[in-house]
Amino acid sequence: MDLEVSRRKVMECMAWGPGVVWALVAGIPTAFSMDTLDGRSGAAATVSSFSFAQISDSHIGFDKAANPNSSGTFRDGLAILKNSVAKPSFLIHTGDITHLSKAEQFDTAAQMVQESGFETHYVPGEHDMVDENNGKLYMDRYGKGTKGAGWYSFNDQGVHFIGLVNVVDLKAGGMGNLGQAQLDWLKNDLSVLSASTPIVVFAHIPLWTVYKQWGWGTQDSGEALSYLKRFGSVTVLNGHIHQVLQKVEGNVSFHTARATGFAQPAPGTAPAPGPMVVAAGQLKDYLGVTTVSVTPNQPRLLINDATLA
Amino acid sequence: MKKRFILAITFGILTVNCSAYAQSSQAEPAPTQNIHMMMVADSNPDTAKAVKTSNITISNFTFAPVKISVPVRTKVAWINKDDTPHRVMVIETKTKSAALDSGASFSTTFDQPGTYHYFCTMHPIMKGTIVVTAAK
Repeated sequence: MDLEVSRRKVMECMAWGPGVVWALVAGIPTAFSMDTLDGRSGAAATVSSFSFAQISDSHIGFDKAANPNSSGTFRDGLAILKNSVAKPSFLIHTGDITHLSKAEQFDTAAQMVQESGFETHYVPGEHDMVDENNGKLYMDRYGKGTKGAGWYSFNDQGVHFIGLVNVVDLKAGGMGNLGQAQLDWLKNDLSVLSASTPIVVFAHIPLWTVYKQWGWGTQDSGEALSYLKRFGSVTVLNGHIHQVLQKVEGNVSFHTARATGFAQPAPGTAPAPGPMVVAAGQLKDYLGVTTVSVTPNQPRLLINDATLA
Repeated sequence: MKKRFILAITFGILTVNCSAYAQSSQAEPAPTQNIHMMMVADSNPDTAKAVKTSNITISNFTFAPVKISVPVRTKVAWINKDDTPHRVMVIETKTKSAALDSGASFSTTFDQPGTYHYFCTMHPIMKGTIVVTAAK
């Protein structure tokens, strides 16, 4: 048995998170960096206690019966986050910023986000990529420094964040799609990280199959998830379905967020997905935002969903 | 006389090829080589439309009828009756609509017989088929 591999496995199983393992060395508790121990460089730094927020599916420009004022409810969502006691460090917008990829819809969303004061990281939804140049307006705004159709990663306070794009080049009869170029990039992006680095993956369409009949899943997500298996803490945040659903599979926690734009039916409870008109006065019970708290040594991130009500 | 006839036929084929899959956003040339179409075509060549229109309704994330059979030179129109946009793409011709908001429509004319498959690029679970048959 390879002693080095064995030791690495044990260490990876022992500790998550801060990239630090405490061990007794000559009777003295001593901290080791996991990154040093497993020989990978470029891993995330020590994890801090902090929170960030997810906001999704604002659908700016939508004005049908399911919500005549999608701009107003987006503003409400941002206000809840801004006024929360533990103010998030930054926001992640998991797509469908706009309803029809129109310049003025992107402008409205950007202005509201700017007014909120939050630094915001975006991934596109399928509604953000339907301008006549197939996503140019989105990419002009949010594509700087990204790869391919807008995917990227960044490190913040010891956590490695990965924004994936699964809404372009969709195949007839299929669901969301990452594509080989993005999968290759993801594999490479993860390869330098220590298994103890907490990972947060965010993308618009769920990376697990919520309901195939409505296309609520990503057809090649299995490949992406296989690259994440060795990590001790993986959190996958998605939007698209406009409702909270969660699932835990091994070290991976999947979570979908409410929209601020409009409600959608639960899987299979209506003839089709799409905007759902709810009883008068109850719309804000169906819309919401999500806060995610990171705590050192806690592999499961604390996810809190708040409605706009 | 015979030579002129052959030239006319050749021109007709060229016209058909060049105008194949013309989209509604472009002015479609009058089907001058097709006598039975001429009878019902718009008399103004600038606004002339293909003879027949076949409609496909988009409702509840479904194309209806999901499969249609139409004669060649038929204009096929998709009308979105959902509260959310859809975007039609015909795979074989790569013809793509704009994002169709509620109530919007898109049309394209099929000038070549064959089987065409289309889907919604935003919700690819939605797909349909158009069989274009040769003129009798």
